[in-house]
Amino acid sequence: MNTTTQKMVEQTIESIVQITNPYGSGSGFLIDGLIITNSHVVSGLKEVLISTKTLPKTLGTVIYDDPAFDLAFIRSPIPIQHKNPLQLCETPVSDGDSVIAIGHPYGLNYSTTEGIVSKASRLQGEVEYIQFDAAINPGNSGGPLLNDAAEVIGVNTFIIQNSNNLGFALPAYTLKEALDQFRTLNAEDVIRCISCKNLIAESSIQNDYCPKCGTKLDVAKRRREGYKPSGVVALIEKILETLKINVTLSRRSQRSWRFEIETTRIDINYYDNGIVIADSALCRIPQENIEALYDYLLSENSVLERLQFSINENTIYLSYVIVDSSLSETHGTWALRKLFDHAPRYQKHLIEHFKAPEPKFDEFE
Amino acid sequence: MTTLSYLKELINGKGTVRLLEIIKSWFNPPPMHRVPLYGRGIHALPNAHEKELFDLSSAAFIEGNIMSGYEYFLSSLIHHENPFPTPHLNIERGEEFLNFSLIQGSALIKGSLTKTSFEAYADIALSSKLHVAIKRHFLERDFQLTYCRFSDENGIIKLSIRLDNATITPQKIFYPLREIALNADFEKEFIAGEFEESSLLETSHLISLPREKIEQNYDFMQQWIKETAQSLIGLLSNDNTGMTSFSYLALLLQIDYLLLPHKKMAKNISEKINGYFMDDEKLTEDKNADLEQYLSELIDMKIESFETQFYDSAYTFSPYEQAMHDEIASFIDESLSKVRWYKNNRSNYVITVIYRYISLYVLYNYGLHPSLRALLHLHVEVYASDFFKAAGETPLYDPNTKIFNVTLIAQRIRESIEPYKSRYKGLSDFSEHLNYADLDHFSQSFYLQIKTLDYTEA
Repeated sequence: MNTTTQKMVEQTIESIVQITNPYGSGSGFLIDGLIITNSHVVSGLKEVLISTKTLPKTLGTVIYDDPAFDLAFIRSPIPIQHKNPLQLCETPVSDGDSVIAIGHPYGLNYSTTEGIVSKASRLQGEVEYIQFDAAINPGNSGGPLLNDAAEVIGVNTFIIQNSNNLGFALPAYTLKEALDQFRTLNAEDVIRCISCKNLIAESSIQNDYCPKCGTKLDVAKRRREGYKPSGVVALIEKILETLKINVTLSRRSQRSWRFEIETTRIDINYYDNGIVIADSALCRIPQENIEALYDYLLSENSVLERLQFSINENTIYLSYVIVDSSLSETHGTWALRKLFDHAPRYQKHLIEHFKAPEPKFDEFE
Repeated sequence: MTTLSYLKELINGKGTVRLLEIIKSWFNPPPMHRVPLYGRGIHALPNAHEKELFDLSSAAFIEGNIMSGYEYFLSSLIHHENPFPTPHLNIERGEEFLNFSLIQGSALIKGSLTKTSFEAYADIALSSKLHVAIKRHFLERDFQLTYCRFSDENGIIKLSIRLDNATITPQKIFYPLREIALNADFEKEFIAGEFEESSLLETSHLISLPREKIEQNYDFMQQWIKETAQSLIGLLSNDNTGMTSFSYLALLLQIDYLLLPHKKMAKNISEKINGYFMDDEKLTEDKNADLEQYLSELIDMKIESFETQFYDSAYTFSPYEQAMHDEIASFIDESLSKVRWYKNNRSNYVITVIYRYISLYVLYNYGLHPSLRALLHLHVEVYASDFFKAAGETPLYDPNTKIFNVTLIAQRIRESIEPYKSRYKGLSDFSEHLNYADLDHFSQSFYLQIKTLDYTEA
């Protein structure tokens, strides 16, 4: 990347949004105060988590869901600060134009890749796409495809799996058309019918059928039903709510939660093998006095009820491990409360007494 | 647990009819095969009433009778025909308490129960004598273990578990108890293999082997290594790497299966065998050189050092998960295709080695159904008839006259199959289909039959 491109990336980065919901995550970007993303990124939900460089994790409202063009618009409850607003490109795209894709592939935040337009127009079904060769991956969906003037030329939408850099973006003119139609309707909670392509106000939908053409609207059904955890996931969330944790903001997936308690990060994961692990990475192994530290941790393990110290790679963890079938509300609440209480206290002690360095958190998750 | 206490519990409960069936079956136990005495795993027969006791345990827990639930469950773990002088699992039950202890190889697990919780622990080692690497290892294991954890209680490294009884079931006891037992044994062996073992605790249950047996095992090991070295003379290493590998691996597997060493020797054998299969970057010639080097260390080993690597002990839990028969059948298939390749290339020497290797490899690597374990052991016994003759067994094969004891082989196959025929309708006695012309023909026909055994429950 040359200096101009680097400067351009720097200017646009504040307009890039990370979108998370229990079913997955993706990217988005700001245009005229609205967050633009793909319909498949919001997974048919009315509320998703949004965050930007200037906005911490916040619950955003999906006000427009368009499975026909794989588009969705999200409204942030708080205005998002960004000095250099993105603009939609109004000139035609040509084969060979330089492009830049920005997004969060596999959760690797704010990754930028560059390439060229491989083919300005490819028809898939009834929709035209821009084919380009900048590398995009799962998590890039919904992010902007920019030209060398930092204008949005498309919404990164899909790739051909197991191919080499065959990416496809919904063109800016399709996005502009959708934005204009949406604004003309002057309503929120709007769905586009996948068959007749009309924009439908959600309030006018009965039994999930399109009032214009009668097609069953899956998105309407999913939005009506919302995200309803059950079983052990519901129990974990109930325990977290009892402990005053904002469950919605802490959800990373259907089976994963993350939040901060004072200076410590708590991760809770419910694995496919039925094990629930709540842990906190407290610190790393120091360079001196290491055996004394091991002695301390092993000794504390003999008095810690339900919690335990352990080491993975170079990090010391305080954990609560339980098999799903043994998790009860009473014991789970007791143990997690204890973890939340002990983690910051032990972290402080290990850092001060053993000179243990603070933990480093892996971005490759 | 006495029969009387079972009766008392049952009569207080509901299952009178089933009770009579259980009592009847105790007096008429189904015919069982011989107690397995070789290889890693349990050297006893599974409890014939395991399922019934497990069900009784479930029922007791449902009724809120926690003590009885645990007592039935623990009783289901008690093996039949335990060959050791002391029981591998002791249960002591009082009005308001239940204590137990169980042996798992080098480890002794002690447990106690109250109405609300269950605790068990194994004393592993003295903390003050442990190398820093072992302490680090324990803390890393704590990250991996599900139910139990290592801790240092007043200078003693313990592995312990604690369970709440609120929603307890037999399954919820089995896996934690198995985890603590297997890991306590494994970690004590690990310490003994890596560092000075003087810090290990709770070793009084380990049974020393008689000097005579040690000498016999030592002599056999020396003899097998020399025979293998002799058989490989004249084979060019670069032309016969596969043959050499089969010879060395079969030899190490045989030493492990028949002599059952522990501590450093067990660790080294395991590392050599696993290293052979897992290191994809090393040339086979180099792997063979590693194996040869280790075998030369074994042949140079003094009997005094050799002796320290052996003890006898009971195992309450099998360290293996039972493998699917398809997986074993596919390994046999693959191995028999190698036999065909060597036959076509006129490398007859290695064919017998591969046949010997197949049963030893399966016994070493897979958790086997008791009947399959007995059948594969029979194959080992045919090939190592000298060893078994020295152990006081009637040989199944005479290597001098090359004659099989057909009657005894057929009887042993029947003993391995019969107890399970009602459960697995596809199982049948295949002794009549074996070819006794010579060792190779016997093995070929034997493995073809093993491959087709059907362990689908009726």
